Amino acid sequence: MSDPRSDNASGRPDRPEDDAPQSGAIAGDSALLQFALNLVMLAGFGYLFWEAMALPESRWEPLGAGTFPRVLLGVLMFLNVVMLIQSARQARAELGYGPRALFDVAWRTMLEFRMVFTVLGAFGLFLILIRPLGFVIAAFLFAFGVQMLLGPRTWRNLVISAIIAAVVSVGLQVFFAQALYVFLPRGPFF
Amino acid sequence: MLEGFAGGFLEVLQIATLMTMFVGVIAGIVASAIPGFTITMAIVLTMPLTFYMPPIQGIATMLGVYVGGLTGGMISAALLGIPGTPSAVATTFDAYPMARKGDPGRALGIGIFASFFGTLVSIVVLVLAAPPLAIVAIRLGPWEYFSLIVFAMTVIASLVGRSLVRGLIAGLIGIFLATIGPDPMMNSPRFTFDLAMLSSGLPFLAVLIGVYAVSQLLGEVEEMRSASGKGEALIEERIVFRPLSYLMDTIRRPINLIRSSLVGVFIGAVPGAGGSIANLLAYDQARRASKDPDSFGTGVPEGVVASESGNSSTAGGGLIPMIALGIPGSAVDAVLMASLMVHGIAVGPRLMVDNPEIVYSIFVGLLVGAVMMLVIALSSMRYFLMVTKIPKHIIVPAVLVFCAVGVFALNNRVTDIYLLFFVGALGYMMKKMDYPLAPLVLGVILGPIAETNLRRALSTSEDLTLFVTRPVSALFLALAVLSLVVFLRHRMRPGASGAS
Repeated sequence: MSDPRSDNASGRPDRPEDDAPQSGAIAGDSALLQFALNLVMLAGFGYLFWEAMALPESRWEPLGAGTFPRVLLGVLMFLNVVMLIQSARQARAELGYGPRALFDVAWRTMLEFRMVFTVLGAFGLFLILIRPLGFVIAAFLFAFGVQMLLGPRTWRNLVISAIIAAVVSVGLQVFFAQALYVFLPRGPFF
Repeated sequence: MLEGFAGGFLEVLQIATLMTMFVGVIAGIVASAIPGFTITMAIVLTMPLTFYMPPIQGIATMLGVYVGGLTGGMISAALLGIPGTPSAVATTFDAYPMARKGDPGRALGIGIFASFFGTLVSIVVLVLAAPPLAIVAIRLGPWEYFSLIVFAMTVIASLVGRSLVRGLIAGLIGIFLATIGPDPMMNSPRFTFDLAMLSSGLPFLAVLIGVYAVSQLLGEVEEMRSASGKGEALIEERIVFRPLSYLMDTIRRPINLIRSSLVGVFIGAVPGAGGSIANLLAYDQARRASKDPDSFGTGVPEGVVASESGNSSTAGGGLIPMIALGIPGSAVDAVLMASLMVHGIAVGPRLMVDNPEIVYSIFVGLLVGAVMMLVIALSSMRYFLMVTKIPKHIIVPAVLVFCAVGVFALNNRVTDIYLLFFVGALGYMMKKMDYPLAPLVLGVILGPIAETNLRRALSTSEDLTLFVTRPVSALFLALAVLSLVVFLRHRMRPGASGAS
C-alpha cells in the first residue's frame, strides 16, 4: 500500500497532483496510524471489558448482564492484537523516518482533511447551539455558513445560500410543527 | 376465494379509497426518502387520519403508505448513498455506485421494478401459503431465533471488504454498540457511565444515519477540496430515465428476483425480523449464487434487484402471521392491527372466518398499492433525479440538517442528535481507516436479537444440544456453516479479493 517512490512517513506520493482524494481509505494507508488506532482500540476495549466484569450476574439465568459483552470485548481485544501483529512490521518501517513520524502522519492527515474537519466541527457546533438558540437560528447559521464555506464566493451564491438556509430552518420548523406535530426545539426568539 | 377477491376489489376500488391510497403512496415514498424518517413513523402519523374513514379505506390507505415507504427508502440510498430507511441499507451497495457511474436513472428504475415484483411475489405467497407459513414462523422458539440470527450474521462475511479481520472488528463493534443501555433481560444499565444520553441505549436510527449519512456527506466534502470542485453536482453527466429498458433489466433476472422475494417473505413472516434484515440477507444470497460475486458492490443490477425485491416482499410476509394468527410480523403490522382494533375488528385466528372481506381487501389493497407505487414512482422519478443536479455545497448542509431533525423526531430528544454526531464521526473515521461500515450496521441490528434469544433459550433450558437437536434450529445452523464454508473457499481461491 505504501508508495515505494515516496520518502515521507505515510508512504503517500509527494507530488501534489497525486495527493488528490481517492474513493478508498486514505488515512488507512498508513500502517503507523493503523497501529496507533488498534492500540487505542485495544486499550479502550480492555477498559470496557474491565467495566463489564462489574455487571451483575443473574440468579434466574446462566448468563448475566455482563457475559455477552465480555465475550464480545474479549474477541475484539483478540482481533486487535492480530491487527497489531499484522501491521507492526510496516509501522516500524514507517517509524524509521524519525520519532516524529506519527505526528507527521497525523499532521498531514489533518491538513488533508481540514475542510472535512471544519464541516464536522460546524455540524457539532450546530447541534450544541440548538438548545440555547433554538432550531431555527442554529440551523440557519449552519446551513448558510457551510454553503458559503463550500460554495463559490459570489453575490449570487450568497443570496441562494440565504434562501436555502431559510427553507431548511424556518421551513422545516413550520412543516414539522404543522404537518407532523413534531415541535423542534425553540430558542429565545423562535 | 374468487368471490372473496371480487368483494375485495369492489371495496378497494372506490373513488374515496383510491384517492386516499394515492396520497398515502406519495406520502410513504416522500417520507422514506428522507433519512431518519421511517415507514413506521409515516404509518403512525397516518393512523389518526384513518380513524375518520371506514375500516377498509383506512387499512388500504395505510397499506399505500407501507408499500410506498418500502420503495421510497431506496431514493436517497441510490442518489446520495444514504439509506432512507433501515430496509434500504443493501441498496446503497450497488445502486449508489451505479448512480455515481452516471446512471442514477437505471439504479432507481431497476429498484422500482424489483420492489414492484417483490411485492407481487409476497402477495401470491400471502394468499396461498399464509396459514402453514404462519404456523412455522410462530413455532420458532428462542433456539431457532438465535440460530436464524447466527445464519444472518454470516452475511457479515460478504460485507467485510478487503480485510476479513477489519470486517469482523466492525461487525463486533456494531454488536457491542447495541449492548449499551438497559440489558434486555434484567434491565440493568450497561456502559452508560451515568450519562443521560446513553441511559436508554443507542437508538438504532441514530446509529444508521450517523454511520451512513454523516460519513457519506463528509466524503462528499472531501471531494470538494479542490477549487475546481466548487459548485459541482453529485452527478455531472446528463441524466436519462428509460423505464422499459429497466423493466427488461429486472425481469431478465427471474431467479434472483424470486429467490430474493422469497427470502423477504420468510424473514417478514418471522415476528421481529423484517425489512432491515431481509434486504441484507437477500443481497448476500444473490451474491453467493452469482457467477461473479466480486462484481457485487461495484454497481451491478443484480445487487439492486436482490435488495429491493427482498425488502419490498416483507410487506406481504409481515401480514402472514397477522392475518393467520393475529401476531404482527413487524412494527408496521402492529400499527395496522391497532388501526383495525380501533374500528372494532378483532385481529386473530378467526379474522378470516369472521371478517373475510377485511382479509381480501388487505390482499387487494396491497396489490393496488403496489400498482400505484409503480405508476407514481415511474412518473415522479425524473423529479427525484434532479436531486443529483443540486450542487454539493447545498446538498451537504441541507441533508445534515434533515438528518438532525429526523433523529430528533424519533424520541423528541436533543441528546439523540449528540449521539448522531459522535456515531457520525466514528463512522467517518472507520471509513477512512478502511473499516467497512455495513458489518457495523448489521451488528447493531442483529446483536440485541441474538443476545436476547440466547439468554432466553438458556433460561428455559441450559441444555446446549437443543440448538442442534431442534430441527429448524439445526437447519439454520447448518446453513450458517455452509455459508461460511462457501465464503472461505471463495476467499482462499487464488486471486480472490482480500486475503487477510
